[in-house]
Amino acid sequence: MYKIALTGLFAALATIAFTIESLFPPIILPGARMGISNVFILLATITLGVGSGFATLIIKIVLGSLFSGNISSMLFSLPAGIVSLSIETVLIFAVKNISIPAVSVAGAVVNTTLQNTVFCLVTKTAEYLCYLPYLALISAVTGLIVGFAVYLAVKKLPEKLFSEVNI
Amino acid sequence: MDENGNQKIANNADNPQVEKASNNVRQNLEKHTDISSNGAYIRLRSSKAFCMRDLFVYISLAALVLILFIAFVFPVKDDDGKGFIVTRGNATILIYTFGSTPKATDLIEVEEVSNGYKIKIYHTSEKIGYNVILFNDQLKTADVIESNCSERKDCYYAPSISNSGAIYCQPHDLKITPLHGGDDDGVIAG
Repeated sequence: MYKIALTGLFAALATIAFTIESLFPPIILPGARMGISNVFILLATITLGVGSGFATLIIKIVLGSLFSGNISSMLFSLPAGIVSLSIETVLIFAVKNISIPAVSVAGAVVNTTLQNTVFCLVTKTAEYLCYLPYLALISAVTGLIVGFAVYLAVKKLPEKLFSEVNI
Repeated sequence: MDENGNQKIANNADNPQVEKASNNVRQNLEKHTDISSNGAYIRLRSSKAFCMRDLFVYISLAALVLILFIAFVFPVKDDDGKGFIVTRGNATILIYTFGSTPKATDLIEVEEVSNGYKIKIYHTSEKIGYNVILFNDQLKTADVIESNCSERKDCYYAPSISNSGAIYCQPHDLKITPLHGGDDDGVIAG
């Protein structure tokens, strides 16, 4: 029950962050965002487990798309989000001795690349693919910032908050 | 077998060997994959912000970005475009060629400005949704300078395009792409 409550809390925070972020203009190029909601998704994955991480991701994408009024963005965000979180999960749990910022950068670049590729395929806007490398670079920077935020959160939050969580 | 002749389903408590084997499997999994989230949390809590293995990740991502540049940026044609094509869905709304005068219609308003034209495209006969595109003949660029599509206005914040790239307005399904040779008769379709 405690784990479910924490998962719900992370999902709510991720949704709020996503909705607020969608009101701001993009960073340099369309499709480039800070990705602050990924802080809560990554935090949920590390502290509560893989299931909670994916639950947080799906809830954030579905509710965030509904609240921001851009329902079609679900089509691009969902597959990219699932693949990038899967890669982050493998890096966190299977590959040891890897830092949180590196995990976040990997997830961010994969997420942005896949999301925009799917966007180009669905909207038949192949000309947009020339922005892909620049978007990947921007997402690497934002992923690094998000990664450091998660790193500090994991370090500073009291351990007793998550010590009772069991799989 | 029970009193009805049905085979009893063995459980781990009845079979210590099975219980021991499943515990061994779990211990091996935990040892090699760290499936316990608390284990990962505790490990990451004491980790540093940078580890040597991070280099593999960063080098892989740098290679990915380089491949994307080689695939999508470097092969772009260096020649100046002849103009731009504006489409909505599969229909061509406007073909703009540099040096020519675009024609106004019921849904398209044309205003001449210094070095080009400002074209306002309405998307319905009620003239509710619109995009304003600025075509600059001197710089050979196109840019969306006004739109009432949504809160985000990705088309408005997109950089101006010249001989590569595209501007896409998702709510209005409007796309602006460079025109390289081919059809340039300037016909405006509906």
